[in-house]
Amino acid sequence: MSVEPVRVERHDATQVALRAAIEQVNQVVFGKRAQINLAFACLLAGGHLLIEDVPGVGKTTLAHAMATSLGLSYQRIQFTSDLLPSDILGVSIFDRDTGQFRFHAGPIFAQLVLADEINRATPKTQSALLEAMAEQQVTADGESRPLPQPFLVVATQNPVDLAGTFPLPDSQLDRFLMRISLGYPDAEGERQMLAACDRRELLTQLGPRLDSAQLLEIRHRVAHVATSAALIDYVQRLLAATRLHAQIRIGLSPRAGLALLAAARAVSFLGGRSHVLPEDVQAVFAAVAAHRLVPASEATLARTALADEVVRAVRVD
Amino acid sequence: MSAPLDRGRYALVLALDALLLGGHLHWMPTPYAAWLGFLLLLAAWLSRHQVRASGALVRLPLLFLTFGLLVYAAGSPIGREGGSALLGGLIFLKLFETATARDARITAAAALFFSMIGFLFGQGLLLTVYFCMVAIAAFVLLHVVSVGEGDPAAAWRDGLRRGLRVGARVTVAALPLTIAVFILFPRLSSPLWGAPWDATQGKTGISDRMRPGQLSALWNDDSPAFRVTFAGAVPPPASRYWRGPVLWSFDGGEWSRSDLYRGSRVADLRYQPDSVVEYEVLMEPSERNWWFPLDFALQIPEGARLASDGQVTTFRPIIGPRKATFRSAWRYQLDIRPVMGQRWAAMRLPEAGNPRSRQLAAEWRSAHGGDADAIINAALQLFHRDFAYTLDPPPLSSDTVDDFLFNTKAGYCEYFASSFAFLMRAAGIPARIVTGYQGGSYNASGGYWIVRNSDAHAWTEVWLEGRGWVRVDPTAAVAPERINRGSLSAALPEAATWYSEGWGAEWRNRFDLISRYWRQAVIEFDAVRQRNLLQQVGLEDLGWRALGGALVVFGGIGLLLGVWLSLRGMVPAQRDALLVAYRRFGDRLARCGVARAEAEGPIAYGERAAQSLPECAPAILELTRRFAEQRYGESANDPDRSHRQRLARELRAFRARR
Repeated sequence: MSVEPVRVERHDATQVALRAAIEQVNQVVFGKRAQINLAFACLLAGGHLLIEDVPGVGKTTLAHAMATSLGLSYQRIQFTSDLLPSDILGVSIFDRDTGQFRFHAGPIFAQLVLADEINRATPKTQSALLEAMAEQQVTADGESRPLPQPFLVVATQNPVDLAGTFPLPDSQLDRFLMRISLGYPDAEGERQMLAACDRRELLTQLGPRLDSAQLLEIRHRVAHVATSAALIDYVQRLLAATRLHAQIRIGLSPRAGLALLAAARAVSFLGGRSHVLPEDVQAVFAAVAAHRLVPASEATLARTALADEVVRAVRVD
Repeated sequence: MSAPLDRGRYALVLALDALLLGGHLHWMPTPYAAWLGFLLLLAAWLSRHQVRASGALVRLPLLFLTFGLLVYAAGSPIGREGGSALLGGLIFLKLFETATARDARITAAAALFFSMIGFLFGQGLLLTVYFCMVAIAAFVLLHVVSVGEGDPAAAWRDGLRRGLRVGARVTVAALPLTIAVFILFPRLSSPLWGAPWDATQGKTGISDRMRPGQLSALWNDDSPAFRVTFAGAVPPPASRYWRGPVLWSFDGGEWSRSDLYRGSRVADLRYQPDSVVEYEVLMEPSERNWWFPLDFALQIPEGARLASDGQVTTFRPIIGPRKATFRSAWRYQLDIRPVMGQRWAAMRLPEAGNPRSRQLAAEWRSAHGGDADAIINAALQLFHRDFAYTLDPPPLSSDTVDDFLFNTKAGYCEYFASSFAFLMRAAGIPARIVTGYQGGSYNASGGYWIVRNSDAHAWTEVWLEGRGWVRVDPTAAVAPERINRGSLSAALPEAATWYSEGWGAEWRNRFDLISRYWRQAVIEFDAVRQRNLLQQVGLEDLGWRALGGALVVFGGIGLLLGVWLSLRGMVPAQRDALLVAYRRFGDRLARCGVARAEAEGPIAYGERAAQSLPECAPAILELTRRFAEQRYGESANDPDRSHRQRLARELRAFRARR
């Protein structure tokens, strides 16, 4: 279910700029409006994003385009099996001139970090990244260094290439606010992509549409989108339904409920509303809930299908 | 159209019916009860495999089968048993057309009614508690069906827990009204449940005929026959003979009473004053018209009759529990001067049959001459030497006495009494058989004695010159423990059960005490006791008019109290006027072919409806947008309800044009 933008007050410069940023990403990644909306919602809610998909559908392009459009500093880390934690966090090197150790910041010191193929690194390296995501700081040589704000991670996972990977455990998946997959573009989008010029060239043409101050303002406003008692009731029914569902072994936690509300607020803000509708919750439910559900061993449905089934079964009123 | 019933709730209907069947098993003819159980299983199987059996092709044969089996098992669909069984069958057939919430409600109501029918067959404490539980289960079903209507199947489990609370609460809330009506409802002089007893029904208890092998149905029946509270000293176990029908006539196979010798006056009774005891008997309904006083009754309750052979009869059968006070002497001499004709009657034997026994008696007679004591001793010695006491004797051929004395040589009291009496008569000594009970067990927690049906016994009396009728219990010669300890399990270890002794017996006694209180306080609350109770609170001699008035007043108070109890602390149902108006708005649109899916948000639904009904698209979009804003926006928390009320009015006023 997609919620189309309702209307944007002309005088709201921030909203206009945000729309322009989203539009700009849509010019680079074709035919993925819904997913791009979700990705923006995720980042505006201050959450990290996990993209699970086959190679070559535009994961990297999406992350790069979003970083540029939002005016964020950007770093890409390609995860490999020999990647070490220090390769991400940075390392202290002895400076002969000053006679002291100097910290060389790793690629994680950026506002938007693309962690490409995160499941190819060893668990040790994965957890270095995941800890930084959770704590918003890096501790090296006994010294804590705060990460730049906003700090957002977009990680990608390759579900097909299973040989030589270390899948993220369920508990770590919880650190990502949303998990989405892009999927192949539709015929029209694919044709547009093939006809357009090289994506890398397109990316260089992009410019920032928002500045850091505006982004922080947006995040503040997202956090203040209203949720009425009726909506909270609905979210509670959803949570309860995942816990009672016969095919789900472990349902959603209260923290997952908070994540669901945060994501729904962002979607609602993108839709130009000051309050969350059940439709907003439904729009983000699969992305927020699916990777947090633990299906029962005899479950016949995939996690996403289970999440969709829960949404279809719980009444709105 | 009521909401369809999902499988979880249907399972609840099945469970309720199963509970209901459990409460009626004790009276229902076994094949019929088994058939109802089969219907239940069939319905469960159909539900499990999601087969719909709503067609007349399935239901009609089931209906005919049920009716046929009813006529076969209960005789007729009319009368207490037949009518109740018919109603039960219809309730179980309803399972095959239970598809909606409304059907489930009907089942719940029928279960309540059928529980009440259960009290036509028994009013014991256990049964009452059981049917209270059935009532709670019916309330649970009502609650789960009504509150969670249309919820996903998983949610009914949640409703089950709340339903149990509501059910228990409603039941408790009904108590004030129940008590008011119980105390004040005008009583009939005969019991309210005085429905005619079916003559076809097999009866337990002592009958006035005896044929060896007949009492065996009683051994396993541990239900109380009567309870006794002694006012003073208690006679020793070996003297606790509770006298029932006295049997005079023997036709070769069966002993029976003879109406000829039932003069209503005891001709000649001498007793020792120090053996006189006074006691109160609480008789269970036996459907017979005799009491079982301690041998020998001196004083009997009003309305009863003491026959010359010591049997105490009533005018009407004892169909409800009855209480009476007796006085007896357990050391006595009866009829030293013989009553006219009794000696002759106590010597009669059939013309032929049992030749070997007659021959044996003739041998004794010629050996001992007229010495009755010697003959009696010979017979008792014979029993003592060669015979075994068992509850499971081999069957006897047509010459029962011969077969028992010379072949099987094993049996219980009836066998010994019957053959002993025969031998005595054949040897020229007047003898008769007395049936009744022997012994009884003491309930220490209640301070009374229980005589159970399994204590049934038969013994003999012989008339001796100068001593009158003397009790001779041939069973004592074979199994003295049976008599001296007054219990069956003492004589036969294999007849003992876990509750014969130790903690089992203790708990059994406690339960018996409670059910005795139940009997006295509830079941025996008749017109007399009602008047006594009302007199105690100062309401004397109320006519039925005044009683009716009091009933209305106190019943009304009880009703109000019940309503208050059931509503107290309950959260008022969420009645959001805006939501109700929006649902009605949705119903209007549904009539135009755009029904809202349960899980559909208002904006999404509004857009879909606007597309299908372009004529009223602006109105639909506008109303749904405002509804979403009022319900989910910041104004939802606005204490000023005027906007919401106005929107609700507009939603209600909406009419779709096609």
